[in-house]
Amino acid sequence: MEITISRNSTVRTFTFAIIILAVIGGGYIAWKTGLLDSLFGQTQTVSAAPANEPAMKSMTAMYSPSGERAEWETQVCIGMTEKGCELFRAMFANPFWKSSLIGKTTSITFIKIADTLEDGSQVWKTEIADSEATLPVYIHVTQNDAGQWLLNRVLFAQEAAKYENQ
Amino acid sequence: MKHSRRLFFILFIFVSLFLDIAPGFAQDGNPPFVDPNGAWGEVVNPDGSINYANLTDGGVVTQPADWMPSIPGVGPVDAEYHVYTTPSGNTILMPTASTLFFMSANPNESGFNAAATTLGTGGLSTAEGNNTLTGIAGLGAWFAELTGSGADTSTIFPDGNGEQFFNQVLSGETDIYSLGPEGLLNFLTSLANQSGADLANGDGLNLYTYMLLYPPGQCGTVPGGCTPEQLALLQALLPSIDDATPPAPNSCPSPFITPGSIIRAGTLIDPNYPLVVGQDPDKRGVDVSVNVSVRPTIRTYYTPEPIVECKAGANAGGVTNCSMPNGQSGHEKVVGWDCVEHTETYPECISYASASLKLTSESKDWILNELSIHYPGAYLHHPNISMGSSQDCSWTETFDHLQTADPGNWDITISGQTSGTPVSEPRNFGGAAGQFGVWLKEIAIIK
Repeated sequence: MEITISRNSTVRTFTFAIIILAVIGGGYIAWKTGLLDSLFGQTQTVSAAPANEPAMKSMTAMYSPSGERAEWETQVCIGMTEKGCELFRAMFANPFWKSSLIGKTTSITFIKIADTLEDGSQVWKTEIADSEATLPVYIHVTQNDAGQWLLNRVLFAQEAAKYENQ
Repeated sequence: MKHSRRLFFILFIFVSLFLDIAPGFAQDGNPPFVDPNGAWGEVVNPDGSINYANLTDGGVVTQPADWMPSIPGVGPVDAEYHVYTTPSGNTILMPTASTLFFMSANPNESGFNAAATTLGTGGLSTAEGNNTLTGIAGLGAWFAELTGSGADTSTIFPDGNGEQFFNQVLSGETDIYSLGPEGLLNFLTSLANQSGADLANGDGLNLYTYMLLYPPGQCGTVPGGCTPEQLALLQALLPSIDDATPPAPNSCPSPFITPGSIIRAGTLIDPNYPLVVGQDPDKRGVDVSVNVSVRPTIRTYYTPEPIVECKAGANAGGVTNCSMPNGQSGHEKVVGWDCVEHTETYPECISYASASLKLTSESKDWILNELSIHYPGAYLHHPNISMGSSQDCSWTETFDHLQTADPGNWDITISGQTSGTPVSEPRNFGGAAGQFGVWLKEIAIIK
């Protein structure tokens, strides 16, 4: 039996294979270079009123230590993740409580999303202001099941430098 | 997915780490070896448990440290340690888990490298230079060893960040945040949970997995500073504190050379009162002995030698290597220098020598002037008599019946040259080495 393959059929098959390979290759390159993240990562945005997010309220409380320390820590932890609250109490609370921020009232302003991480958490750039100065502060936030952004922790100055230089 | 897998392994490592270190010293099935005569002998019992009865508890010291991570607008997180002092004045520092982590990440700034010696607990242990790092401080080296011994690094940390991160901890890099915000959150929370659990249980032991030992002279650089007891000890040991800078050697005298004396002697042997041979029918003459030799040349030089004393306690390296009169262990220390005298002896020979008899000039004048009045025509018969020579190392010889024809005083002269030594040149010598008289018999007619 003789099998006849037409010239048009061969060209179509070859062209289709080339296109498939190009799509796969392009996708791989886009994935490796982070192009996909930059294209689709930006689709995840903060709510229209970030100031109302629990993370920002925690930040306001954190940078305005006053009253009884236990109550202040509880107030800060309301807008934090469980893990973030543990870390705050163990490592952050003492320096804050001993700092010159005691008794001061500060305001926190959301500036932008600095980074979206692969687990969906984000790094936000905020700005803290009191009557004397403003200071950029980067925070790590996670979205809960209800869609609210909770504070994990304040990034250390050493970590924030990475985002400042971007 | 990549980060999830990475975080899983990070948490796995820390769970393993804390399970291993949980038993602490007393219950550790494999206690660290402790030299009972070393600095740790004051701190740790032979079974590996801490000898708290021998330590003075300085309490928990919490203080800001610029090498700890900094919170924007607030400043660095406090460093926290439990401080003990030993009877010999050493400071034992036990940092909390998180403090230890950042100490090992900034080993120079934090004083981690300034510790004379360290001792860690737990199952994770690896050698890093001359130290054996364990627990959190040893995590980086342990992880490198693990990956280098066959584990597939790309499987554990596909992008290599994890390995780099743990290696950076011990390599002293200050930028240890390559793990990313979410990874560091898990890491720090693990440390905080461990610390919190220990504190909640009222058991501070498990919190401290590492001990750093600082000698008394360094207590000023240890967090919390010097205790009053240490300051008192430092005053008492003040001369021995500065182990690093012993006094400079003295400036010793320059070497010098003392040439050996040249011994020369000429002696009349016989007769006691020789007569000029012209009046002696037997022509007896004189017997004369000559002797010449050289004593050794001496080179004297000085060397600075250290004066070592035993000082109480360990030295800056934590070493004790002597005992005080009261039995307390101590360390040898250079407290000064002495100039010690040394001599070298070089024998020297006579290269050549000759001997002769010479009528003195006074006797010549007497013969030619005064004596010639009584004996007109008096003259000098033979005022110089050569005896002989030698090329031996030393020379002793007697010459018999030397015919002295002229009256008066005769010099026995010995001349020559020494051979020299490796440290001195040859020397010439000469001149009278002895004298004797030769008599003239006179006859006077008296009315």
